[in-house]
Amino acid sequence: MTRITVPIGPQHPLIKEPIAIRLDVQGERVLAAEIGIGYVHRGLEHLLQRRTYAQGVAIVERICGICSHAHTTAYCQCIEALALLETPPRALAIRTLLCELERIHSHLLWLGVLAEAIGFNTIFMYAWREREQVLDIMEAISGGRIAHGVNVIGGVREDVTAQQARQALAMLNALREQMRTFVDLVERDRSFLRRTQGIGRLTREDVRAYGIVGPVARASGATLDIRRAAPYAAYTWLHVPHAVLVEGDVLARARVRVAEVQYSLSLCEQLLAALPEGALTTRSPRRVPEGEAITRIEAPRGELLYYVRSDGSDKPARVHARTPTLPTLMALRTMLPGLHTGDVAAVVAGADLCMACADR
Amino acid sequence: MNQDEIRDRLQSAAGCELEMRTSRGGDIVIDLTPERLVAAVAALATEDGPAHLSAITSFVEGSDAILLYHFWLGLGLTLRVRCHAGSSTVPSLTPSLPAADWYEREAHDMLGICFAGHPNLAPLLLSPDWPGPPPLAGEEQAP
Repeated sequence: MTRITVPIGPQHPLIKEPIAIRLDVQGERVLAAEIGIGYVHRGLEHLLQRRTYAQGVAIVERICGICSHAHTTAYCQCIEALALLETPPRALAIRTLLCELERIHSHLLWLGVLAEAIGFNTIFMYAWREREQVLDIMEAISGGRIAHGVNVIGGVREDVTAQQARQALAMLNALREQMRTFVDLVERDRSFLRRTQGIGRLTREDVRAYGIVGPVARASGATLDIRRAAPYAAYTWLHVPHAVLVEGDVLARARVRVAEVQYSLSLCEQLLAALPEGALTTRSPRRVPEGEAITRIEAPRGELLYYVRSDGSDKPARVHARTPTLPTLMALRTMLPGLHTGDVAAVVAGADLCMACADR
Repeated sequence: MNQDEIRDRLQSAAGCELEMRTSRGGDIVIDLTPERLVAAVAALATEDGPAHLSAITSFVEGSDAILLYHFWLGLGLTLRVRCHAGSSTVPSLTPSLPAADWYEREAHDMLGICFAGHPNLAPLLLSPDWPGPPPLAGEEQAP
């Protein structure tokens, strides 16, 4: 049978963000895959070197339209470490609350995208409907649904009032009930299981070789979760439960994420029920002392690393962000070969890729 | 892996005393020469597989290029490699550690660093017909 190359993307009606996938196929079987990225590269790391530290917060927030708060959290934490600032506990708790809300909406968005990729449009609608409630809470707190503008260097800009906390708790309680649909889906739904079980497998060795992080790694038996391994912000006083599976297929990734949404709901409830009192910010200097800092946080897709180097001026000498999508993207060349062409969409959607994050 | 074990492994791989310092943010930082890099990274492997490479950061310092290899080994470890102007070739980690592949391609895009032994140093983020010098390699232009 003839071997042919099928180019998919970078612009393709079924792809939400630009990525080039070249599949070598023989009949209905994928033999090899080559991935091309860089189509939404905006030179943001270069831009960051030309703006002040405070302006940089708004730039890193625009790296990604899903995990925008994770980017500002990692960036602000890095500058705070460089400038030896002590962030007030209330600010850390509000930061963490937004991080967990973001994890819930990111995982629900992903579940919708996967459901759509396997032709399960009802779940796509349900997942995105529930996600809206989380966006409503974030909008009530910050005024923004996607770019929240909550983090500043040294703390947060927005407070959470007692009334907002009560309303958020009620909405999260309702969401917890609605999560039963998704638990049933990933545990029992026959059509979902048949489309996701045993495909796109990654072994624990693959995870180590490619440096894969986040829910994709935890679905393959890896345990790294920066919230547990190197607690930061409010995770220093919260207990973060673990969701680790060993199957390494798309189904395991779905199960890990659905479990993580439930854990995040508990973390949000704990934070809202007992927000520490006190100031929202500490005063930050315009010029940051010379030096370099490295921080890692657990973004919705996994370990997000920021490196910031200061030459003592009011602008960073270098900012580098390694986003968690990159290693997963690299590993597509291992996940795709051997698949039936009809399963490619499920594996690509199931990997939870963010091209804007990868390209910066 | 704890701090002492990391230092012992790296020192026996490098065959010399290595100085260890802690960066703000908590990572341990160790300076290495380019030729010792591959052996040092191999020495960090455990029975679970190679060390977890989180990222490679690259930037220019004076006339030199600096490469920072960020690892997570239960604690943060950064290996700092300086390559001097005129000999900006560093051995590639990709053949032994696939995770390094795209990070090395990105450093090649942005600073023009060549990684000897990399199987495919094609542009990753830049367009193949990018006309100028590597964007982060030169002097800052006026905005």
